[in-house]
Amino acid sequence: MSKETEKDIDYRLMRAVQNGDMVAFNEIVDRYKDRLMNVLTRMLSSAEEAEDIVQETFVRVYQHRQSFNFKHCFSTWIYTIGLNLGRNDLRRRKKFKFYEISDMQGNEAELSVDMKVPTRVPEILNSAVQELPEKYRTAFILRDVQELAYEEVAKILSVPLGTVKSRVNRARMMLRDKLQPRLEEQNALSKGTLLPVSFL
Amino acid sequence: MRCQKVRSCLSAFCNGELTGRRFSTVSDHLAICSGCRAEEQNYRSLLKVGQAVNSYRVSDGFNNRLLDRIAHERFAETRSKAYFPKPAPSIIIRRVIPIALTVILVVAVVITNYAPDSNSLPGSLAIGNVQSDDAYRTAQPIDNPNLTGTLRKGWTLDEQLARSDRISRILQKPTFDIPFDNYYRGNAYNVSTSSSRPVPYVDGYYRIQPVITVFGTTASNANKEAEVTY
Repeated sequence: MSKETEKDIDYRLMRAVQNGDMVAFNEIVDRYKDRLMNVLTRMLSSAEEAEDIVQETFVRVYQHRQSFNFKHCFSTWIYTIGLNLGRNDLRRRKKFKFYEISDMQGNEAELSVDMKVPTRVPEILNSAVQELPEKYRTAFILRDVQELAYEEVAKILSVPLGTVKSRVNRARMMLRDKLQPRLEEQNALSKGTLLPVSFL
Repeated sequence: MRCQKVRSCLSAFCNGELTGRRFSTVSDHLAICSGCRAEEQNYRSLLKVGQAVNSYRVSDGFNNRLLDRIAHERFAETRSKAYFPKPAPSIIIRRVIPIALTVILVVAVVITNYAPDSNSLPGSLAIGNVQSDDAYRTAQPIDNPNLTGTLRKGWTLDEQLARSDRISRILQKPTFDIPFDNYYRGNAYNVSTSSSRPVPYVDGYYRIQPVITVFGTTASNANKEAEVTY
């Protein structure tokens, strides 16, 4: 489905929501809830916090449905709301350090993502993404994880296009530096130049 | 292209974001540089890993929880002050403003159209008016072209006539009434007023040298006399 068609669907649904159609609103929630969850979980490194923010995002979308300007892209609008709420949450957490009850009880199943010891490369990548500075992390997630266009990322983050490209490039280089040993190992395994331990 | 420059473009190259000349330059360099080729492999592996990373999803029942919350907020909104009827205002501003503007406009028109004009004051009150009018700088009776009254610049006609009155009183000599209409102004304009005033006329009064001479040449002595009197 092309971007243009998705945009038209978003506009049609938003018009219906403005007229009070809750079924159309439910459809918008289904279209964007997982995308927002993906971005916000990587940004906040906590699935529970991310889900709260996703819920708050949709509440804000509903509350301000009448003020949506159809000259703008709906996906840009909703991502902007979600990321702003995520940033506010990060600032709030820096100010007051939060401890989860599950941490005190020693229940490893409730631990947030970055507290688990990563072993596989994708997990290492997740962990490395969490360690990126916030501005590089957000740009990387939107561009390389969500696969949004550079122009859209620039509108969401309200920065120039060149700045977005620079941040994404910088994030990739930082991740490459962190993952280099594991990536080289994986390359060697795939080429057969390095045998896995089980064969020794 | 140097390796440092190529490696800074490698992530964009692997993501298919380079085009044209830059793409061909990087490709040509990768063909000859094994170090940069290894770097390219690392970036491509990173790209594959990134695509294989699991995406996060919301928990089950998310939609129902969200719709419940929205319904709760809508209910709370209908109980807010915004929904209570407001008391009717004692003064309806929207009706008062046009009436006030109309009143101000009418007052402004009346003031500008019916205010007393200082120019229409009678002659006796015009003394002291310093409106300059060069048309009255010289006045010369038609039947005595040698007689020239040098009048002060800036004096109105009424001031000049008042001055001539004073001069004639000082002389205490009978003067001929010459209709003012006969006065010829140096600038060839006709005087509009038709009233006649006694004016000093010097024919036959040569014995009154200071006045006559002054009046025939300059009016300085007569002026001084007039000013002393007044």
